[in-house]
Amino acid sequence: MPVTGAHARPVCLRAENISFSYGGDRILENISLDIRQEEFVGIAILNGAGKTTHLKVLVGLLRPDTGAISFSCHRGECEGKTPCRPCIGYVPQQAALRQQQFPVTVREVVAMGTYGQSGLFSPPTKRDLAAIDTRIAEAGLSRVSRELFSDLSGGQQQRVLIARALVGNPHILALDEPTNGIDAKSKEEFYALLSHLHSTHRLTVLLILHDLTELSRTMERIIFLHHRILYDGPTESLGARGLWDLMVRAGRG
Amino acid sequence: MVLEFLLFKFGIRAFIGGLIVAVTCASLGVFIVLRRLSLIADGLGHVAFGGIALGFWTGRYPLYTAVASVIAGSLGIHGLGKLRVASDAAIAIMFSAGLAIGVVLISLAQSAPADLLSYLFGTILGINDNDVYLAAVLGVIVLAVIALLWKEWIGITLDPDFARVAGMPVTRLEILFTILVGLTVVVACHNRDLYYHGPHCQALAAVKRELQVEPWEHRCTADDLQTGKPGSPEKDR
Repeated sequence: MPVTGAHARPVCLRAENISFSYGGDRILENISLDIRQEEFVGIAILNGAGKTTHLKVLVGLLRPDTGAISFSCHRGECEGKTPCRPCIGYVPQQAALRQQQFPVTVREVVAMGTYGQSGLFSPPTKRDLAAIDTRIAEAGLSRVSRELFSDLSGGQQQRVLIARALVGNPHILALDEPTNGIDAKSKEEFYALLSHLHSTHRLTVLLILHDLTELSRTMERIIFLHHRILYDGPTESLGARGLWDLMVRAGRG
Repeated sequence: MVLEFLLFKFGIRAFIGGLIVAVTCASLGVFIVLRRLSLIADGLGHVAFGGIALGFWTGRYPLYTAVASVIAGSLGIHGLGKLRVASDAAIAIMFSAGLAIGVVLISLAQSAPADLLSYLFGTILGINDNDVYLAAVLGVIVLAVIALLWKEWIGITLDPDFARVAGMPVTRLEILFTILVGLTVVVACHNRDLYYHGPHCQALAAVKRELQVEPWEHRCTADDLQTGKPGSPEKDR
């Protein structure tokens, strides 16, 4: 099992018979999967196979050609909504930020996480400001909170994006290749932070990466996607041989 | 004296009109440049030309029809985007369509309007009271919307995907932004001109971005405005 007693937990993200094409290329073919609350899931997708597109479909940014995505989180107001926005904290790739040179401070970037829930024309409330401070401290960014985002290292920028995603108090944290371009030490710190957040906030973590080996070291459940689901199960039952077999199968298309 | 022009009514009108254009274009220009939409003002300028031609053809006040046409053009650009047409291609399509419609309608008008050239190439000293009032009303609307939705503009400029997942109405905000650009085009079109207001919108923001020049010792951020405390000293680059 992915985690002990995971199947007893309610499903918080369900994909049913999802298919998605982009520019004539079939990206997803009839995918069905359930992500349960508090699972620590890694989705492995080969380079060039549309990792970001996969995650965007799963978090509701792109509408699938067929099938449906549904979310069911703890909160009553989320029931039945697709996408259930307050439930998801989205962490895009650092390069996805449209303007790396945008002159915003770390605190302003983290504050973005409150904008969706505070509504139009409303300044941040005291509760929002307190949540921003808490998340900045939790991510170990208090010292640099007034620095420009663009002046930070890759590892620090990744922490800022996680803090921003968590300010809205989501139930699912969805991360798109979070360890791309950061050094080994920062990777270790990143996974330690992710593990801490998973256990203390009972977060469901959904992480997309091309590196199956890295995922097998850090995640509890692995889903290997190559147009279809090639593997979906606990990491420990995969093994080195299983990893190799998956890579070969994916290579054959 | 440099300020002697203020002794004349046309000078005062030109000064007020130019001031409105400068403030409105500079405020919106920051977001236009950061969102990499530098050509959108030019595209909507040509759409406004179609609207002005419609005004001449139907006998209505040209700037009113220009407002209607830029709003329609803004919606058209977003409609094409929904059909997966790239944003630069969508702008180019509206650009060509606006110009073509304008040329046809001007040809259909009984006689060539005398002040058409003033719309195309600008006569800031020739603007009348109506032009100033319309520019003032539209300028106040544009600046008020920019100020009231400040955090939303930062959100959709910095990371529209995150903003969408976080629950912000990104598509509606993007349409509103394009309409604001269109209204700024109309504000500028008689005071300056249709074809040169685009650079007016982007020049200040682009120069600031490229040179990284700040007029103050301390960088003033949106956060500072909220807390009322000065920002951290600018780092050496």
